[in-house]
Amino acid sequence: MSDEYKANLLIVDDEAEIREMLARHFAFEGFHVLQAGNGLEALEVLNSKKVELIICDIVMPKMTGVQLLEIVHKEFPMVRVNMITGYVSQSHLLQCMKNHADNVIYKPLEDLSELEKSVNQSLELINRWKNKLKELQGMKV
Amino acid sequence: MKYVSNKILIADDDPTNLLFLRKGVNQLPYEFTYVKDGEAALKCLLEDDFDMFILDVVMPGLTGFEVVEKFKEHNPESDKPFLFLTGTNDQETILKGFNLGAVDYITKPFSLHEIRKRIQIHHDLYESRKELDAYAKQMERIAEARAEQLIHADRLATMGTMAAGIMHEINNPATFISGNIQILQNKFLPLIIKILDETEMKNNLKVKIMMEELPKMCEGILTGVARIKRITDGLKAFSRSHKTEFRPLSLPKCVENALLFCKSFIPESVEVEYSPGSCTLTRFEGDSQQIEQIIINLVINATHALENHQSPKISITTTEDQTSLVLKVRDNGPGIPDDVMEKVWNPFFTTKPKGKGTGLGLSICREMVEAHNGKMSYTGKVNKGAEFTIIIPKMQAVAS
Repeated sequence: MSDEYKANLLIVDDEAEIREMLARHFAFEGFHVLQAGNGLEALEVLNSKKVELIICDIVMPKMTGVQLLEIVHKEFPMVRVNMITGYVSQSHLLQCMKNHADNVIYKPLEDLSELEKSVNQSLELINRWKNKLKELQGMKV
Repeated sequence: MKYVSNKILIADDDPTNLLFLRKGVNQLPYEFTYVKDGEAALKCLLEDDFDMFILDVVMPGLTGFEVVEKFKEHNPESDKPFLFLTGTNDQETILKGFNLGAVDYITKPFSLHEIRKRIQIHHDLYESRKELDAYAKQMERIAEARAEQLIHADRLATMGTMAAGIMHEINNPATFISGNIQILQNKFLPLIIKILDETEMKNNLKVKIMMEELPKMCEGILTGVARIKRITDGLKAFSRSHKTEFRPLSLPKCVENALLFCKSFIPESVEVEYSPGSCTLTRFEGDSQQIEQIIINLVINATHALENHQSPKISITTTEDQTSLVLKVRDNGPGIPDDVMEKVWNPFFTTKPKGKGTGLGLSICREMVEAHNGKMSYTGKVNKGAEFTIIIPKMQAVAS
């Protein structure tokens, strides 16, 4: 990945129009955007490419966003996830919280800046840890 | 409870017999009518309502059997008990009597004791049968009403599930319409303007119009999306997945929001008056979405009632007393007739033409008011317009 991108962002949504709209938005904002139509596809991407951030729908065929989130939390603990959903239920919300999603944002996303802000905050957290690692390496030298 | 009266007819052509009978039964608590031939007996039976009749078989003119046959021709459904007086112990006659439907027979000469007992027993039997019939009918009605309620509940549940599904389906396209327009409006457009500013193209008339109109077009589309969102939010009230969420809120604020939402439905000719009255400051615990939904429903119902009215008016008042908050929605329309009023709370009852109303409005309103431990009732008076009153206990009221 080239340094001209802010970060690698994976967008997971079974609705292609929403996925592409979000890809458009975040590409314009300087992210390198990857896409997946469901949880299984997302895992393939995670296993083959470097991903730092995920935006993930909850209700999807094959593997739900919550199931994906659980796996990401266990196997890719450095990856930060923002959930989006059109079908809000308390149990979804609690599961997202338990599995350390950074945020859950409700569709129809009538203000995209809420999601943008949330993704940027997640990115800040990642960068903070990256900087800490760099500092540590600097100290060793 | 008495299900039968006590009128009994006795017909016998022998005056001595009749006199004897009269003497014998006059202590019984029934009202007896005595006639001395078949024609008179039939006339009485057809003109008056007797609970039991006792007929001599052998009479001049019409026999006892013929009286019963003719009576049954006119009243095939009759289940009135009747007895025959027979002069002999003739098996054939007795059998014929039973075949005609007699409950019993009495052979002459008879004992008055026995006659009194038989009349009493058959009258009591008839009475208990009537009681059982009435009870069975009542049970049937209850069962029917319960079945209807269950069907309604089932339909409501189906509607709820459907509403949740529809919400989800609408939310998805609304998301990408809204998102794409926001990208265009907030990200692409400023860049386009910036680029244009640096070229000669900005003075081209068509480009000028385009740059003026583009932001307005984006605004227009976003307003549309916002309206779609309001509709899906409205569907939430029908959706069973929506739980009543209590938050501190102000009743007048709910009325104002509801009126804002109703604006597009209310014809301009309708005067809408709202006075927040004494409860401007009190906040209470409630679900604002539901409270607004209730007010919207009532206001829309009122506008329908006011169609073709000369000077239509809707007035809403909110007041409070020591124990509760009171909301009244009144119109100056024709009011609700009593026979309609009995049914307005039933789900799916509507006076609107097919396809115009679901008949769910008021039943859902009442359900939502009850979810707030409140009471909703119709308080309109004949010829004085319709008025609905909602009382929500202040137990849920919280300090502002």
